[in-house]
Amino acid sequence: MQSFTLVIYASPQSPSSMTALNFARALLASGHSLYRLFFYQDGVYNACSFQVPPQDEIDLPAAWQALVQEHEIDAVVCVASALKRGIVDTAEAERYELAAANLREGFVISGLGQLIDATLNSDRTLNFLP
Amino acid sequence: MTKTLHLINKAPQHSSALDECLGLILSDPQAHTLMLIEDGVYAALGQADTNQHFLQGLQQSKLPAYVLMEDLEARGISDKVSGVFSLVDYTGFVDLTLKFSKVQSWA
Repeated sequence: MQSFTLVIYASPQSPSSMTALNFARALLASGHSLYRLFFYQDGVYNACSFQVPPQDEIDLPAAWQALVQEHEIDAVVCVASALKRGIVDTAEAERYELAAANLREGFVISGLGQLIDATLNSDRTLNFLP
Repeated sequence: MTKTLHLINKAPQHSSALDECLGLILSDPQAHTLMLIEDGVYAALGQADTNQHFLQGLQQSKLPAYVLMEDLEARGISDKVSGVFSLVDYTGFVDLTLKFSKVQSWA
C-alpha cells in the first residue's frame, strides 16, 4: 500500500478537478491511501458550500466532500488562496467580520506548510493543473 | 535512475506543453514516459495531420506512451488512437504513477 497526496489547482468547472476525484477514487479502490488532499489556487472552490450547480451537472464540491467524509481524508484548503476568493471558515469569518462562513464541513483551512509536509511524507504527490 | 511520468492535459493545438515536454524527454526515452489525459488525448489521434510529426518522433524514440481510456471515451475517439499508445483506465493510471519515482504535470 502506498500513500498519495493530490494537489488540486482547478475549480469544479475544470475537467482536472474531476480527473483528480476519479484518481482519488481509483487509488482508494486499489487499496492505497490518501495522505492529504491539498486544494490550491482556484482549487479552493471545490471546498465552497455556497455553489449551486444546475441539477443536470455533477456537483463536484459535494462529491469531494462525500469522499473526504467517507474515508476521513485530511482535506486542506490553502488559506491565502481561500481568503482572496471569499472562502472562509467560522474563525476567518469572525476575524474579518464577514456575513457568513462557507467552508464545507470536512475541509480545513491551513497553509503551504501542509503541502511541504505532504510531499515529504507521502509516496507520491500528483499535481492536477487547470 | 530517476524515472519520470509526464502528464499532458491540453490539446496540442491549445498549449505548447506537449512540444516542450517532448523536447526534454525524447532524447532520453529510458528515463521518461508520457501520459495523455483530459484534452491531451487529442494528441493520440492517429490520423490527424497535425499529430504526424509528434507521433513519428514518439515511435522512433520508443518512448513508452499511455493515454487515459475514460477521457478518450468521453470524447468519442477511442477507436482512432495511434498504435504508439497503450490505453489505461484509472486503475492503470494509479499503478503507472507508482512505477515512476516522479510524476510531472505540464500545463
